[in-house]
Amino acid sequence: MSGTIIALAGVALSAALWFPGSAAAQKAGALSPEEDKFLSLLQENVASGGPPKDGIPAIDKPQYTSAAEADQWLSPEDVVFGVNHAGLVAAYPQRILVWHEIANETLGGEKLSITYCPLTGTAIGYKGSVAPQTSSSFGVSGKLVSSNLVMYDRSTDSRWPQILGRAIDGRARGGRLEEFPVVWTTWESWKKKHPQTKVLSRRTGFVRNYGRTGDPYGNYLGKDKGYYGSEQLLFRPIFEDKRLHPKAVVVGVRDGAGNAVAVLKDRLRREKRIEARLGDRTVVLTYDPALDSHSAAVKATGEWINAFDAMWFAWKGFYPDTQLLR
Amino acid sequence: MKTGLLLSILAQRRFVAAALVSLAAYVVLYLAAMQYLVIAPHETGRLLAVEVLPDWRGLAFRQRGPFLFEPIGVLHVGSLAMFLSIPNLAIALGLGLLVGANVAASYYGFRELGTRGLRGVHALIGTIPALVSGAACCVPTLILVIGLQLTATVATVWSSLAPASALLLALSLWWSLRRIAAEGAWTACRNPREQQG
Repeated sequence: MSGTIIALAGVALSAALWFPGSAAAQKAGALSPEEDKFLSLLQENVASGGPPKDGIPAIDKPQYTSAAEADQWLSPEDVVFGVNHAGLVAAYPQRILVWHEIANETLGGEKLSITYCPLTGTAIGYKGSVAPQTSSSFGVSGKLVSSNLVMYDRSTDSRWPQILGRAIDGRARGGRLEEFPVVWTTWESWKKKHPQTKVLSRRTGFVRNYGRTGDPYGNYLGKDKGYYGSEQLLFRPIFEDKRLHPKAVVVGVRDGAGNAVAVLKDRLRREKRIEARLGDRTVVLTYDPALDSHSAAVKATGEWINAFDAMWFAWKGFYPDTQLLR
Repeated sequence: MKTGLLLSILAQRRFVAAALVSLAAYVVLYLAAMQYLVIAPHETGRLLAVEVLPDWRGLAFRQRGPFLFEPIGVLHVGSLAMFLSIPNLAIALGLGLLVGANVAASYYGFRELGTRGLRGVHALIGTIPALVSGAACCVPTLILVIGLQLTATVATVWSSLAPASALLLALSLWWSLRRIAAEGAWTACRNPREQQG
């Protein structure tokens, strides 16, 4: 890809990319030229991750166990992705999702997907609203862009990079997904806060090594973190920024006007509360020491806005004009 | 392929033993490289257990990657777990047979023809890509170890390693047998007592 295209795309991002909480997918026809150009840039940079479509199988019929049962195989410090939404209180162990990347759940007729990309360290909850009046579950396409999981929806077969939450091709191109909160925390912390939680079972319908040493990329526990701690990237990123270690964890927030903010998670841990400008709005990020996690809201209205952990290189890959608070 | 010569070599106990040991070692290495042989004790602590997935028919030939298929069950032996996949086992056995035949031919050449200048090492070289191919199914993992960035070219090359290995091993075996025949050991092979005399 030429540097010119990269520069153009960077400028293009000053337009719009994201509207968290939008009720339905936006039609492709409503795309501005800048948006269209950026989505095309992402589309051109989609690469094969090795496995074929569904070669990494999503969990479509999740089974759950009790916290007491999970205690027999989960360690207190194990990473889990916690969900407390619409009556669902559940922990999704990273050990399991590293092999599946998506768990599809249906609650009261509403489709929910808990998504995790190991290569970008991002866990995001999406509702299945891929198009107006169309709800879908998701699968793993086997493709990546900026190392990030590219999902596909089972209604329109469009491609959705996980961090972007927006279709870059297919019938739903330009559409956006609604989000719900997913908390990156530890089993011990989640269980303490939600003693009645249920836990995704290892009975996934597939055979994988869900043990402590089973993660094929690295290890979030211990000193040798493998991929998660090294500077090495598996794929050449579209945009680079050397201000931080590429795998440094930032808390990312973005809005529908093309504005994005990344706060170094260590800084949020220190300061507990950070206000950041996101276009003409102020968002407040609040650290939750009980879960070593965070939440974000628009200051003026209190409206929830998603803020999620991401590796710095990955956030930069989708939001090249992002502010960085470090 | 000089099948008759190969069968004659394998008819001798020491060479067939070398072939079988190599085959078994290769299958173990191959499965371990693909993470289908892992250290994972049974969740209830049982030392010996076999579990088969309810939907094993639907998964038996489902591909996870190039030359990598879904396991349909797991065999626990002590702390080891072997993921059961029929196509993967067939691939491992196929490549293992080629490795075993190469080792037997190489061993034969070294033992019987070494004094005539033919070294046994050359045939063993053919086993190396086959062993590497065991990791061909886990591109990201091995790419991480060797520090490459995954480009379309690298991914394509990697996905072709398993068949390339089979081809190289077959060529290596053919070349070994051809050299053995050319060195004139074929006669001795057919009648070992004659050679001893």
